[in-house]
Amino acid sequence: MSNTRRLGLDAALLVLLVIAFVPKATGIAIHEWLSLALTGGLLVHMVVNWEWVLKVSARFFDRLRTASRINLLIDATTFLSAVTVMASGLAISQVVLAASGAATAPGATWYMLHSLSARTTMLLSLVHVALHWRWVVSTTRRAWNASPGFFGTPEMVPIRIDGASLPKSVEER
Amino acid sequence: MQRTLKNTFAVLGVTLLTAGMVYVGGSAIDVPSALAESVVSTDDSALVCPATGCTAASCHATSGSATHGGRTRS
Repeated sequence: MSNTRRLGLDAALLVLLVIAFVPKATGIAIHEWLSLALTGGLLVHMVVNWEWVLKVSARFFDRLRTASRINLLIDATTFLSAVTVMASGLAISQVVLAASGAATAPGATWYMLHSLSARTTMLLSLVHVALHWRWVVSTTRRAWNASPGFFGTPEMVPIRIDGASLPKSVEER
Repeated sequence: MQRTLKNTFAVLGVTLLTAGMVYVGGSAIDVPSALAESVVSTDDSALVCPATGCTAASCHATSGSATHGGRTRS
């Protein structure tokens, strides 16, 4: 997957995460289905970056940049927190589980766990973005420069005003 | 392609394993809502009607009414 596509996926995930974070604004049904879609997106994000996880994990106790080590620790904690949100969310689900025909009678602990892990996931996701901010900026800049027409910048075409013929490569444009 | 498939299975495995552990851990410390309700109802004696001094659970059903003047269950 190209960096531009990865950036697009990550940006979409962040937007969905923010929307899913405020169930009062969307209603419980949208919150639950959106969160389920978010889970799928998160899994794709992990598959795309899995090689990096394996590489850094293998060298964690050897010579490794401190930044990479911190990144892995933050990522692992974010993953654990995100899985806790998913599991507790399914345990207290009112719409998704009902649609599948399952019924649950969760206790207060699951609600508390869901609320706590959701806040932790949100916070850690923002830290995750901050730690990768340089990559975000450089990838955005590269994508911008690679397709200026797509972003609305008019393409520059050289025009001779003295009537002389242009090089063939320019005329063909 | 084969590597992507391998990574996908690895990610799914790690995720399901973690989710399973979270579920088992959460279930172990969770008090089922039915049990929690029964604990609350046995604690009815802690509720005292300020108007009559009544502590009967049956009275609490009408708590908050003008005639009874009782407390609502928190």
